[in-house]
Amino acid sequence: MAKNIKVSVKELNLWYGDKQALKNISIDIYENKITALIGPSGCGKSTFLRCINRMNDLINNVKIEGDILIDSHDIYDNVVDVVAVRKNVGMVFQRPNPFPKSIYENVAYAPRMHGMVKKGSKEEQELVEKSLISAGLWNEAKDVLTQPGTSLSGGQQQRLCIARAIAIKPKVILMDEPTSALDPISTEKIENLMLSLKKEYTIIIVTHNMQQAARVADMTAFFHLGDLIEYDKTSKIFVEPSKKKTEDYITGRYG
Amino acid sequence: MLQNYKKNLEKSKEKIINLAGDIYDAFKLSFDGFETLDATKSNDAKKMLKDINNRANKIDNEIIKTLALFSPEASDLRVLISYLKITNELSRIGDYVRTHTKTIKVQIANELDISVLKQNATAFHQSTLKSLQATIESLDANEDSIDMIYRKVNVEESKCDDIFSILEKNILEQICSLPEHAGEYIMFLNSLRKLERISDRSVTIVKLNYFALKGGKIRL
Amino acid sequence: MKNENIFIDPQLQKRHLKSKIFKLFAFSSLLVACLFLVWFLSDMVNRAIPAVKNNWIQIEVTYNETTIENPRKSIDKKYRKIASKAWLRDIRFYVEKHPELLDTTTLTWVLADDQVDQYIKGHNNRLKSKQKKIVDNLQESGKLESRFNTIFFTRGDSKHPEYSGLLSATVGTILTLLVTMAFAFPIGVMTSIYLEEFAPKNRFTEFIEININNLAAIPSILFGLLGLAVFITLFGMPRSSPLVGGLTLGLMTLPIIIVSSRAALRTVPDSIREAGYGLGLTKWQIVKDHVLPLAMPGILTGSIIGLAQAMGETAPLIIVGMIAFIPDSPTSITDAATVLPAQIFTWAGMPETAYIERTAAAILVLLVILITLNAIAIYLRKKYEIKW
Repeated sequence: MAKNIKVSVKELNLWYGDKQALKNISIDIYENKITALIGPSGCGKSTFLRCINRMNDLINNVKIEGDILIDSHDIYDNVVDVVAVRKNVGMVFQRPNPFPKSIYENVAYAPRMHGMVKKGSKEEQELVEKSLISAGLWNEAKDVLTQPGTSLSGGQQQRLCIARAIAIKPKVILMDEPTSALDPISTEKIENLMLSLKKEYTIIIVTHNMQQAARVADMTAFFHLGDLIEYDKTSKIFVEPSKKKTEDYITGRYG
Repeated sequence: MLQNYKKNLEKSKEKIINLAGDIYDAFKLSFDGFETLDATKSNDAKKMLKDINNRANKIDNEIIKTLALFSPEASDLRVLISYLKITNELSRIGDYVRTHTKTIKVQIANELDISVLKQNATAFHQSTLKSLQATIESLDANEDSIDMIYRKVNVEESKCDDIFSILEKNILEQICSLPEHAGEYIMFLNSLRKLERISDRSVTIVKLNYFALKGGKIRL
Repeated sequence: MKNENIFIDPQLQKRHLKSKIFKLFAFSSLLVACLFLVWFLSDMVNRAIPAVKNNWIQIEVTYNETTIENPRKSIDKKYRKIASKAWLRDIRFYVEKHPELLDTTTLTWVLADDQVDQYIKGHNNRLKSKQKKIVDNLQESGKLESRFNTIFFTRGDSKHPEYSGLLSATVGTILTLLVTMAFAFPIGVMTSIYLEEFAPKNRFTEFIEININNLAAIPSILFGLLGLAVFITLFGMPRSSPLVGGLTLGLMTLPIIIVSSRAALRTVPDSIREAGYGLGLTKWQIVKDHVLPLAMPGILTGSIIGLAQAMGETAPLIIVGMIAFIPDSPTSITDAATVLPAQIFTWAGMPETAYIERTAAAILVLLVILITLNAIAIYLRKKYEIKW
């Protein structure tokens, strides 16, 4: 199976003030694959993730050097509109954060703002339905579309956030520890969801739960104190990692 | 259950059943060759066994990957561990069947006179075949059927033991009466000894599957 | 071995006692506060009750052109000190409403003078014994009636207490507060949105924030001086008008609205904003469609409380001249006006006894309005509170 490169990171460096959080990261993320970023707390994996949709731009005192290319276009280029970047790179956060609006509005709002559908139109309804089906929430939500998004359970809320993210048809979906606040059954539902979503999207997930990376990811990258230590097929990393640091982390001999 | 985890488990099971099935088919073919004194059947059987070790290794490596990635527990874990040990047993059984095909070929070529032993030898082959069949059944068994299969394989195994003692005695008598064919008769005895080991290992395989389905500890 | 029950401990009694004493202490403070409140309210209500009624006498009134010109001539001489002069002055309008009365002399119910009113109510009065006798006669012959005092609510201030009411002050208050809100609310909310959502977090914005908080604590009379200097002297706006008064109060309420709006905006969790950014929304879209609707109940609550506070302010309005005598309701925001607290202040300084009950009644009216506004604020806050 041919592996296309979707996101190409070249020598990325990031400083929070004087502290360097990412050191010369170069990595190629493949299309329609799930790539997991693992590593101990504070190793920079979340910081790295947030560079890909330029969410770090919102923080004061951040300096970024290096290139990130998505589909061969540099997203940090001066002429690039950051809003367009975020439209094409969706994000799902650690704690489910649906808008306190109805379920329907949660999904329909962003596409409407981006001019993809008109308010109340048939296209809008179809888009909402399709997104909720893709997120595995349609059956549970179809009768209560006018209920507030916050009335759903934790796992359902997170699936709503996923539906909301895919409604704007991004190219890449970033997930920052998406199931760390959920119970095991909801976690499994979302992991299965990721496996089916990867047919259409490229997924990058940060997880502090190694076993999750082992279960769902095609490729795994191990970060340590701002460095990218190893990046390889998941089966290789978990059966026979090349670097000792990786092995120590995986076997639990580290920290 | 995670889709890819489920796929992995099913794939390993399918591969192991196929492996056992192919060994069974090869042995049946060789048995046919013995019955009909057809050396080509022995050749075909030998060809079928060419790849057995590679396939067993491949199954083992896949199981290692599944263990590393999915941390299976409870019955899933027992099944995978059993499979790891069963591939070993199947490899050995494959070796024994290969030896058998070789000796049958030689025996046919030399036109060894085994008319005295024929009846017992046929019964012996049949019991061995039945034990092999039991192993295939045990790979696909459930908690209820495994008990019967376990009993069956034990019965066939003791039959094999008994018939082998008789055959051993008969062959030694033949050697005494026809000492010029002693070497060929001894080779024949050796191959029969390998068949006896096949039924032993079949019992082991069924025991492992029993462990996988019903739990407890491994006691082989 | 004795099986000691570790859950029974007499040593703990001392600690429980201290706790009980503390609770009693706190409770008694609450009790004292309540007693003061009850005492104050009952005192006010007692004083205000007489204002509910006013007294009318039925006497002969002559309606013709002369008497319309010179109302004193429309009634018998002996009643001149008993009937209300102010009411008589308005018989012109009375005749216009009842044209059949022109050129007649009819028995009419005429409003009694405030001294008569006080005499009937048993308060201090300046009636002479001759007049008292006339009043007693009227009362015995059924020509004296106590009615519900609608004048209190339908007329403005007057030099004659029996003819004075809250209307002009109320209209003045409403107009002033409209100006206050129109000025302070948009500017205050927009400022807080800028400071909270858009402004970069540096020393300069911190400096602004400290100063806004301090502005909320400045004595209100200084705002009056500011209003005098800027609006009246510099901009030349009309003195005593709701425009000036409203702008002055607006300046005073601005810091309160900014502070409470910022607090309301802060209660919106950042996760909502992050979700918005993640979806590629612009800052304006996030603020308008997600942050503001969530913060609106808090903003409204803060504004209503600010409004209620402005309503009770007297000192700054005195400086800009809204303490004048305003008998007629203002019709626009540039007319001279007065406000309820100022009206109360004025009446409290009047010598006539009749003003005492009216001052108390006006205080109660103001209290009722303030309590209602605060209750609306609390209701809004409870109804739209979203639990995270």
